[in-house]
Amino acid sequence: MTAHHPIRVLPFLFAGLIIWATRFLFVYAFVALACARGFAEGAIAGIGIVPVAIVVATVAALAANGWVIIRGAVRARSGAAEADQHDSALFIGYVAAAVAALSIIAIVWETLPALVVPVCTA
Amino acid sequence: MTRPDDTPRPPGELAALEAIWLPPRGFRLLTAVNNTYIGMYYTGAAVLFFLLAGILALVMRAQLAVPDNDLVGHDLYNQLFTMHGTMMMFLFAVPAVEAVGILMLPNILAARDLPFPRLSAYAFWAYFVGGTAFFCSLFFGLAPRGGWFMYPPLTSFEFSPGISEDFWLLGIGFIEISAIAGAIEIIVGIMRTRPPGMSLDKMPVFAWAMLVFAGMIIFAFPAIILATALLELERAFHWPFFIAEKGGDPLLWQHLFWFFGHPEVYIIFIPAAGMVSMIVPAMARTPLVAYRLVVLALIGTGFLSFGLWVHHMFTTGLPRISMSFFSAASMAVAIPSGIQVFAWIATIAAGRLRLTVPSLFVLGFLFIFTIGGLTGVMVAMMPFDFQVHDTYFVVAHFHYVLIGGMVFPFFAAVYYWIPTVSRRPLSERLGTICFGLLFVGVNVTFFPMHVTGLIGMPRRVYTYPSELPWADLNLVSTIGAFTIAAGVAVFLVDLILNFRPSATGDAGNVWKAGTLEWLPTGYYQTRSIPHITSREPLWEQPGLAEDVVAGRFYLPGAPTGRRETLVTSAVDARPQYILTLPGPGWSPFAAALFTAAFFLLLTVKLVPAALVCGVVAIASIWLWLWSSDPGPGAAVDAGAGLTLPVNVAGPPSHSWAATVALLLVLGTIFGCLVFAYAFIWTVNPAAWHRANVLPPTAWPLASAAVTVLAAATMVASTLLLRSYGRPLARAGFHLALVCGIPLMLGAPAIDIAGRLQTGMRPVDHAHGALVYTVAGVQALLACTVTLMTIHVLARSLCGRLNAERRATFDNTMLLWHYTAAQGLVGLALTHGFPLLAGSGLP
Repeated sequence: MTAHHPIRVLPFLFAGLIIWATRFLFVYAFVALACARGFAEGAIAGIGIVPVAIVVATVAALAANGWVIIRGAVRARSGAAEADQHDSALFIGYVAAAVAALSIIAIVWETLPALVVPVCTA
Repeated sequence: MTRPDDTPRPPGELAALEAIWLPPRGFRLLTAVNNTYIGMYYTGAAVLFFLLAGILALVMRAQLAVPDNDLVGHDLYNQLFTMHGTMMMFLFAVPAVEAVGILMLPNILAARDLPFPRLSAYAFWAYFVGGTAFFCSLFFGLAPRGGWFMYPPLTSFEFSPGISEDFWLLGIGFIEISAIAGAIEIIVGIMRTRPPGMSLDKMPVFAWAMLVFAGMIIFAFPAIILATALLELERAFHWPFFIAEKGGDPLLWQHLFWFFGHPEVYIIFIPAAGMVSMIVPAMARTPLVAYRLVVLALIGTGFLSFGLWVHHMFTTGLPRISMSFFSAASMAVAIPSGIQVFAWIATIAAGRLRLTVPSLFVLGFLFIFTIGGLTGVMVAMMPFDFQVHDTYFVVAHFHYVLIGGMVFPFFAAVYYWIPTVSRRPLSERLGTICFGLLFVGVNVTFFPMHVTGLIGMPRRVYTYPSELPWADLNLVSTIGAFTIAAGVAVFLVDLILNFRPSATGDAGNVWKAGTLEWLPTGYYQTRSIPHITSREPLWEQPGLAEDVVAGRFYLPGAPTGRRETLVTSAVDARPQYILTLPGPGWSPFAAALFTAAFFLLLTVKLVPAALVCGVVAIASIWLWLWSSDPGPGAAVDAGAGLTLPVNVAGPPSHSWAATVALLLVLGTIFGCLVFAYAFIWTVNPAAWHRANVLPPTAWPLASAAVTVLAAATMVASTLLLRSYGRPLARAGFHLALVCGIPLMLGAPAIDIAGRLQTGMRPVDHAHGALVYTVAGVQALLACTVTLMTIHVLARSLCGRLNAERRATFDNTMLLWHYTAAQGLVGLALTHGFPLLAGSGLP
């Protein structure tokens, strides 16, 4: 499978937002379960279990996106070495990195409510 | 090969090409399958449903023009708003953008056609026949009344007896099938039939938009497919998925519906944005500014729009923190939308915009959509939403978004692209009048509704007393609605006066645009398929049109003697093989007709007749598939010094890609079912546990073992197919397939039998209903792969399948393994999970 096989290119292009979706789904499901099943009151080292889970998921997602940005930059630069692949590789690297950057903005923005809103109040 | 081949083309080559692509005449036009005809039918039908749904809106506006009006009663009014919303969303908006895709994508990609022409034909006829019958339900007082989002319990059997809501649930069924069929066609078409040189970085923005659009359909429509199936099961057989007293939850419907319903808004906006990104550069005569960021915006919008569905449910009492995530996501999606708006404005600023009719509609779109976007940010804020929920403020918001975001770009696209399919462009004068009336009409109709909503008028009321301060604003809105109607009437006059469909003598590149749809075309699209080196080839590659017409690029003739197109690699668009395409035929038309009849007859409870139609539909599909998969042919001269193989099998093929797309649809349907199961367990644990009666573990273990054996038979078939030439291997191949069928059918049967002997019944409880649904879906899939396997066996026995000619087998094999995998996950979910969750064995 070459570096330009669609099975490798398309998931890489969308990687940032796949990470966003995974984190979003996890956080949504975790909060829903915690509130419905009453374990939202639990705490780890004095901090509520829900904020801990959200922060851990968020940090992991941000780190993964950082990795995608680095990979995107490397890929865009490597395109220059293959004359006939230059535009394509540059594009794929650039868009993958930009998608990951957008994902970071969305993740940070969507995490802010966790800092100010009480967890299970309807 | 980027330079054209100057070698003179042989005499008679063009005439042969024309003869091969000649369309059928007279009543046989029903059998046409190529994109020019299907795209035109599709677009025409979408416009027809737009007009019909618009007339319903005018009746509603006439009713609301004055207080205490008795023009229509509440029952008809309920039918009117339900049909208006449903038709505009399902019969106009999605099909219209899909239609433009089917009509224009092969031109934009310089392909001869999309890769599955009969699938496009099937999608169109199923939609048109079914949609027409669905609309006609109004004339019999049988139209649904529950609103376009059909919330239970209002729409379930207790509060909506009769068959009206069934018309919606089953009627939407064929439209879902049609949309998914079109989406798969579009994805494979964009990924595999681009012209050589059109790598991803050179793909026109409309193609990117349609790719994102089709991908969103793949992941959004499964939720509504499952939701409609569950509600229909509840209505028809009283399986209580949404009944709280029996452990169900009406909110499950809302989650499933809006997981589809919110992306749906972007499903229709994204192609419209793609259209705008084609029109703006052509009218400003300069390349689109920030192409890569616009692609990012399309991808970003596509993904982020899946994280917004709960913002339709802010008043349902979900945990505040959950709603806050969705509120934040609703604001975050404004970022990619904003990127596109600024890119269009920058492009207009970078060039010199000609104020043509398409430009006017684009400017109107920017104005109206931006207002809708801003009120969208307002309703994304929960405290504000609590106030205006279900009021006319929301009606104003979504009409600004949908009319601004889809209808104006659609009109812009019609005026822009009609010269590619008509001898004459539409009139600039009439177009300007049409735009003026629509622009004024939309604002006069919907702007006052913001105020009407803020002063308390709820949506969906059929009248209001004169004491309330709503009358003047409603009268203004009604005047505006009839102004919109006048604008649409001017458009129709323009069509009658100037639209002269022609595949061979179109008006040509009247806008001096730079993309490939403006190349001269015939029935076969472009004479030869060019090698392109830029995003605006007609601007950047001098003499391209002449070289294409002279046949100096790829496929200047028909080397296989059949309809065909060029398949290129998905990322870099390198030529890979020649794909032969089918010509006109009755089977897609018959299959669609009887598919629609199947659903509609089920709706009116004529079950035997429905079953007959279902069987005829399957037979038609079988007939259609019989002539497909012609198998690989010898390599032929593809023109311009290139020799290519004809048709290929296995992972590089277009057919493999389409099957993978179908598996994604099936996987998402199953994912939604898993969500439903987990949701019911989460929200009502006590009731869930009371109903949790498991059969002895031997039953699921036996079912799992049989499933694994079934998968093993397919592995054996795959290995034996490699040695198909040897009689013993061929016999073994047949034997493995024959043995696999009872195993595949037996696995869900064992599971269901085990459940039945515990006494658990699907009508007793939502948990039971879901357990039987998981097993039932598995049984349905097993029946489908059984039919496909019988088809494979029949082809093999008739000499239509061998080690090389194997696309039919490969597709069946993929679905077979998927079915086995889903079966095992289903067993783990319905037997393993309850054990983990602490249930009691009987």
